[in-house]
Amino acid sequence: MLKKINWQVFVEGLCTATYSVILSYLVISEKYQSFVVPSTKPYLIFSIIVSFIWFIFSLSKLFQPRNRTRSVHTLVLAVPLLFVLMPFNISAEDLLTDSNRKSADAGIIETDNSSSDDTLNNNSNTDTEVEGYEPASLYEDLQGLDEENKHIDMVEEEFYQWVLEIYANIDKYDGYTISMTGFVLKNPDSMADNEFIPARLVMTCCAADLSAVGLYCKYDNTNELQNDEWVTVKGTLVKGEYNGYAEPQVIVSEITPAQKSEAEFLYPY
Amino acid sequence: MKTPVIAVTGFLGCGKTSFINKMMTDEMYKKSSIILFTFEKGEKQIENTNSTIHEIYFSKRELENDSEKVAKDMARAINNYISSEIWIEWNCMEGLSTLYNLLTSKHLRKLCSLEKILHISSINSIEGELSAGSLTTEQVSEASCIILNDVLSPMQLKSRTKAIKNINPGVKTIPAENTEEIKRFLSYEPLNTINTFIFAILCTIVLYLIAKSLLEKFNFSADMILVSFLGTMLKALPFLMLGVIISAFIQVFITTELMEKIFPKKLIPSMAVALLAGFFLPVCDCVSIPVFRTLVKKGVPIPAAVTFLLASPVINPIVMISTYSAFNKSIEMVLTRIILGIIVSVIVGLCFVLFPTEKMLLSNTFVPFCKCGCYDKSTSGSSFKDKFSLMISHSQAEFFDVGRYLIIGAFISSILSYFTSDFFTSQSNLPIAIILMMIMAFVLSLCSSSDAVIAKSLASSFPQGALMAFMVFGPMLDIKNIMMLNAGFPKRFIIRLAAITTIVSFIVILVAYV
Repeated sequence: MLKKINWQVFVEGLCTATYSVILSYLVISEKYQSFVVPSTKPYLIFSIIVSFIWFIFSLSKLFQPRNRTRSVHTLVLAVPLLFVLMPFNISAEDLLTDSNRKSADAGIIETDNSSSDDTLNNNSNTDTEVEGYEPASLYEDLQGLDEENKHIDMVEEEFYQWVLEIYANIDKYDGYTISMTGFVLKNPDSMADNEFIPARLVMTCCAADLSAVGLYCKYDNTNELQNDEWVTVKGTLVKGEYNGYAEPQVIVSEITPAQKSEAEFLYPY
Repeated sequence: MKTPVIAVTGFLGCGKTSFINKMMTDEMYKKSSIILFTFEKGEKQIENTNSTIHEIYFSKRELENDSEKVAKDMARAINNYISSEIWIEWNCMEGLSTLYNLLTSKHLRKLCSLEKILHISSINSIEGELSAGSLTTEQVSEASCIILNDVLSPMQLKSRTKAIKNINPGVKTIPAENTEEIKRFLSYEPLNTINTFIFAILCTIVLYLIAKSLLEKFNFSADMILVSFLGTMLKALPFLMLGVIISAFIQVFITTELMEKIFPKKLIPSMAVALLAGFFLPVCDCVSIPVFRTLVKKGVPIPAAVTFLLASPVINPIVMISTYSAFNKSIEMVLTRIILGIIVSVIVGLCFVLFPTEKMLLSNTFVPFCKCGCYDKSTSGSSFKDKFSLMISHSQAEFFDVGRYLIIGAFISSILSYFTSDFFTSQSNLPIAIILMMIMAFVLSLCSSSDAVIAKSLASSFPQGALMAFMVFGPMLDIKNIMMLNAGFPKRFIIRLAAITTIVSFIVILVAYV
């Protein structure tokens, strides 16, 4: 039915305008960081500008009637916009679904006894001086390292980097004391009764790759800890073993309750 | 109460008048009184057998010189004769916007309202209907229903219907002899645009609630799937917007002649240009697909266009930087990725020389058609302002057109990656690892600007060759971009492209790492 107003243009304009408004809100309030990493911000701003231009241009076509008008295609914008402001309940346990423990938590990196190592060390570690024997640090300038006192203080900004670094150089940090803060993550399927991870959620690209990251801790009173409870863990790093693979583990000496971090996710890249 | 208007359109000699005659003698119209405005004198005359039809003729000149008077005359006729329906036989040389302006003018808009447009399509008119930019194309794209006025073999019927639906998706096509169905169509009242939109939104919400409660019953997290879907969408939408804008720019500002200069017809130079273009356009696959469509439309040789499509997401500067930083500043990884990307895309491109698909893509049925409604302006308007606004409307139409496949692709991939994350653990056997990582790249549908980070995080579980497969094959082919190719390319072409790309990537990477 022909209408004075072109309803297709109306719906399209409505969607592009809403996109501009909601995305502006997400960018200004930084809530977009629940879905994509902060480095996406310029692209999001670009998309806000584009959709706003589309909106302005659609105004000029609003009164050009058409017989055949459609609206379902606008779901491309409408559906994401419909859900994007909803509160989400993300459970860290879901993010630890990977059954392979070695790659599950730390998301890593060459250990020195994996079968695929030869190719890896030859090709990807070009900045490694001597392959295998004394692996270079992945990160040269991590702040929390106190080599004199053999202590590592895993501050929030370096949490992910430290986990990678320790996994990559298990021998080097064997015996170091360490302190770190995260939320308690216990998974009865893949962990022993005396194990837990003080974990953080890490986003590398967008929410599709969210993962829980942390070091495995050995603690006899693990059953007293509640999942998602924020704690500061102090302990000693040891070279442990899991299913035949070397794995850094923390023997816990002290656990204190901690303030929940303001940053929901860590963005290492 | 406004009198409903049925407009009949179609090319000269397609049988509009005969169709109207046939309908008017039908039971449904025999006893009712009809006003018929004709804007065209064809060979046939309207047969007023039952004298309940009031026919009034306006010439094209009257319409052009004084459309206000035409509107007044029409209004007077509507006031003078009590009619249950108004039929309009529209002139095939006149744009439909003229008809719309007439019907929404102050004289007529309170008296009548256009309900449906029937477009009569016959062998005579098919050429005009399918060449973009013509008025008949506009008529096809604006029709509520297409009446096929020829006796067609099932094969012909299929390809005709396909061609028509390419221009006007979802339109109903009815053979002219099927009067019953035409009558049914005329009496049926479709959901209007705004209600359809609201209905679709409500459906989405209801489906979401059902899916959520079902998933939670089995201890799965609907929120996780939704968050990962939204993450993928928010990451992809800006890039898709960039893609459609580049594509619309090429479409509007770069003429076919200029394009021929840029993309030479000779194979080797055109492949080289494709690779260079791929390098300099900082794009991911969301960008390269719309651009690929335009290149094909502009007549760029298919092998070169395919090379561009596959290479550009792998070999551009952004990808190089992200690979460089993800792999601890390893130049070697960056170079390997680029070189393998070039090798695979060139080989796949060359395969299209061996098995040409030009016919498949350039046959009338599959010319990727712009749905932005720009047919009435595409020929006129040469000033920069006109072209710019054409570019804006092109880009928006293309955004929604390709975007609907993006949303489906993103949705499928977030579901699959949620349920298959346990599947991709570790594997040291090279061929199997390569296959696994190719499947994973296909399922995850990551943007090529950031997939290196993910590849790096899998470095302890997979040999490097498999990581390369992930980073070279992933940007070329995944659920998201296969879905997006659906907008404008025949399935046969997509399957061929996917199969060749998969096999070539696998072999190239295997050879490189054995």
